[in-house]
Amino acid sequence: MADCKGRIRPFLGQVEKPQRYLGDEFNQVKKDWGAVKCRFLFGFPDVYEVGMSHLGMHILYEAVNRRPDMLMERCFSPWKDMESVMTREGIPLYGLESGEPAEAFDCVGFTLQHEMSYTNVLQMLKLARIPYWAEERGEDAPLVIAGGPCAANAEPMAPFLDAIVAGEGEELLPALLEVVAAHNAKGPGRGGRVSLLRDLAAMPGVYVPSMKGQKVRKARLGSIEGAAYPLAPLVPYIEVVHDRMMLEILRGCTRGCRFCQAGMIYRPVRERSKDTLMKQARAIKESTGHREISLTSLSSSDHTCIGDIVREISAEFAGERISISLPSLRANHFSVDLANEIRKVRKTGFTFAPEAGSQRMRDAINKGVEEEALLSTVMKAVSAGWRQIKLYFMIGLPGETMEDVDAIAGLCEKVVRSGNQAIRAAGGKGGLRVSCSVSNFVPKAQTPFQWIGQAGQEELKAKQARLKELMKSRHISYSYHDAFTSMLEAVFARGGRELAPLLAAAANRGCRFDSWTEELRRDVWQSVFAEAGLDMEALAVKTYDLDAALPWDHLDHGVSKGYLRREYEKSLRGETTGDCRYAGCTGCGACAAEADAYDTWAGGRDIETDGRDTETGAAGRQPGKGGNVLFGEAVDQ
Amino acid sequence: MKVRICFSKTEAGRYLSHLDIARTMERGLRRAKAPLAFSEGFNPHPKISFASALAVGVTGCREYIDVELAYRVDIGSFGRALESAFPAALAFVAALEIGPGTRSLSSAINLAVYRISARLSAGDEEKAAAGVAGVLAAGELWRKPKLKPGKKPIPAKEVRGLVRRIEIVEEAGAAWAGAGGLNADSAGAIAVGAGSDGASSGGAGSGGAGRIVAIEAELGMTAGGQLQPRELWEMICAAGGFEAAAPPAICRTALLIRQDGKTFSPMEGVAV
Repeated sequence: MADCKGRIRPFLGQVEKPQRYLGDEFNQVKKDWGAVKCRFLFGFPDVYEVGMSHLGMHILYEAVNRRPDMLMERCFSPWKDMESVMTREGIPLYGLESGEPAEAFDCVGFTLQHEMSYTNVLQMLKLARIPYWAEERGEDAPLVIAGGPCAANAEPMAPFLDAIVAGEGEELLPALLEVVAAHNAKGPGRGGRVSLLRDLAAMPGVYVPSMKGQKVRKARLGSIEGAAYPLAPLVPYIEVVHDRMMLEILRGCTRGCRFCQAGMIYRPVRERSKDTLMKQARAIKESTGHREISLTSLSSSDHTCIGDIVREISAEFAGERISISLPSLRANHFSVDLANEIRKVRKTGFTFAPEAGSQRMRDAINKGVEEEALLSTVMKAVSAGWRQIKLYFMIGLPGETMEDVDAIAGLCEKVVRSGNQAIRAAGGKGGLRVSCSVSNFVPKAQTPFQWIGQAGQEELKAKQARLKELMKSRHISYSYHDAFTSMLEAVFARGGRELAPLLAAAANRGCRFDSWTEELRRDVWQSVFAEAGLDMEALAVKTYDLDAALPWDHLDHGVSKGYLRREYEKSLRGETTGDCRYAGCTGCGACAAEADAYDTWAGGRDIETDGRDTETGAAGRQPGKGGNVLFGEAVDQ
Repeated sequence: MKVRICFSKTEAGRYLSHLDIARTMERGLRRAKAPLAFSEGFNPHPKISFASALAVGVTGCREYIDVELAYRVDIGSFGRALESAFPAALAFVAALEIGPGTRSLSSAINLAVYRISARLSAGDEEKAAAGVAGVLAAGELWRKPKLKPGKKPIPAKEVRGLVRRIEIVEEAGAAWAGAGGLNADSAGAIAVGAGSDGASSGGAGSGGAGRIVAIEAELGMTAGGQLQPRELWEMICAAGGFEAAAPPAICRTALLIRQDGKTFSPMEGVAV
């Protein structure tokens, strides 16, 4: 039954933030269902305000909707109040654009941004009236797919998914939908779901969990310069988490922090040129009316032209009082200079991520931040007028001792002392405020630390308590992450398919929004694991033998296992590895060929003519499969 | 250059708060390339002033803002730009240049007209009529104190003087047939028609028994206070001795200026 949006209207007065369920935002794309060959519903397994802040969704919205033959609509996890209304009234999950129920779409795709959103995917499937288990879906059920960083090891979710998209979706998703459309076009008796899955499994970057023995290499773009990018993104009515224009200035990071999954799976580094970025910034400004622009990437100060980009945007947009935000800055003087450029419009706090307190630990995780550099950067920032510094750390890192933990508190105090000294030197008043946020290390698949078990609950709690005891200064505010949540995250981040029934059981007993501390149902999770005869903590702390088979061995996200192992061994020896952009190739394997080693725009080099912008390597192009789509190669071993 | 803009908060925007509307309005103005003038200071804001905030759940047919522009624009093409720059939740009605000495919207407007539509159980129509008569006949009407945790309590207040007129208007009719089924897309539901406006939400309930009763109320707005239409509805229910099955759908149909015995719109007599 169509028009689910109309059916929920009478109940909107009974729920929090009804606008979450209505769509109709500026720049919404609403297409005629009869005029397209494939209808795709994108599901974000969290509330609207979180999902609408996700750049990936906006990119895919553009990549699919710019094609005349397909459409993409959105849905988000309904909050608990709306979920009970929908369940009670028998109103299914629906696309915000058309109000059509999820089951009427050809394909439903979820983004798996983090493990703690898995139960929300199941909540959404249930509301969509689509069976959890891929094998239980009938011929008419939509194809259920997923992608995102958790595709690095989506095994715990694999039995719920017909296909998993590994890598970058802006070209792969439309290509996949084309295959779905072609399959639909065959009409009744079209060879069945199995033949569709077989066709999908033949696509590079597409993992079909029901196929045995498949090896998959992620899909990625050779260059992001010409990639689909939303120049007229949706403008939400209600305040969302990141309520601003987003400009993706570069993708990937090769700093090589050994805990960082994003830094491994999004390699190599690819930049957008300043000219393209300026054009995009102008277009997005005019189409949205936002008053803030964020230059996003994994490490913004790493763009080879970042200074020029910031100065140019700042100069051009200052008259309209549009402010610039620059997340993910490295702790160095250059970052302060950059921030000074943007502060002409609005002043914000400074955030750095030293990740560990001691130099020994920072070397072990390959976080190239020196204490002296950090302190002098802080002094420079303070002299330039900043009075608020935010620092991110992790505890429970491999090989960490209590002295390393104490060093976190020590470093925060040094930051305060340096800052206050700089304030006094400048004749200023007041003190520096430092907020120190400490998270728990979670080992992730496809990283050099993938073999290492997480620190046990007792250890994490003892370290958290130790820091609480040490951080007494009134200048420092200390916050830390829930240890139980981190344990669950660790279990699912490195788990296998055997965990899928536990996810289903937890979802059936009401687990949702597990990343929201106040929503996490510890009791339910504990009993689900106990009933399955599994020890949650033992799974989290389990250390794999270096030669052991890992649940994600068949998934190749660019970096080779040999590289990860070398990096792990270097970590044990306290050795660091330089960034391949400056210190030479580290042999990680992410660059399919010499040709696209990495893609920068320094010095106005003409990328088109030096051949680095063409394709991902010999095996990259698959003739006859989606035209000019560039895939990473499929590895058949 | 100062511009007064008349707009609607449509059915699509019913559940937006005043803050949402303010943010949405600023974005619309920016998309229309309005040369906004900004306040001085560390955190500059565009100089936009609203006539009066609309509560979540209440639509508005004729709402107003004054906006200051840094330089002169052609008002005709500016209006057309706004028309296409507004999202579904806002509908452009009119714009005109106002003189520098024009009284501000918030000080000039002293009257609001609301249409309150509710689905009543069969037989409660007479009670509604009795409720209206009761409220009008009352010598005093006391607004309940407002207690919000963490906020200063607003004491009870006598508000009979703010209730200028209440009448039961014609039943909305056919538009109600699909109560609850009207979606935000239908006609961008500019919701000017009182009937269609009330139709969709407020929990009137689809397929419920009973009739829809629409009440038009003229409420005074003074610096000393306002009476929310929802509060008035509660008074009517109390005076008539009935309860509505669901909260009513409310639309503010007009904001007016009453002066020297004459009533006029904020767009009258202010053009340069």
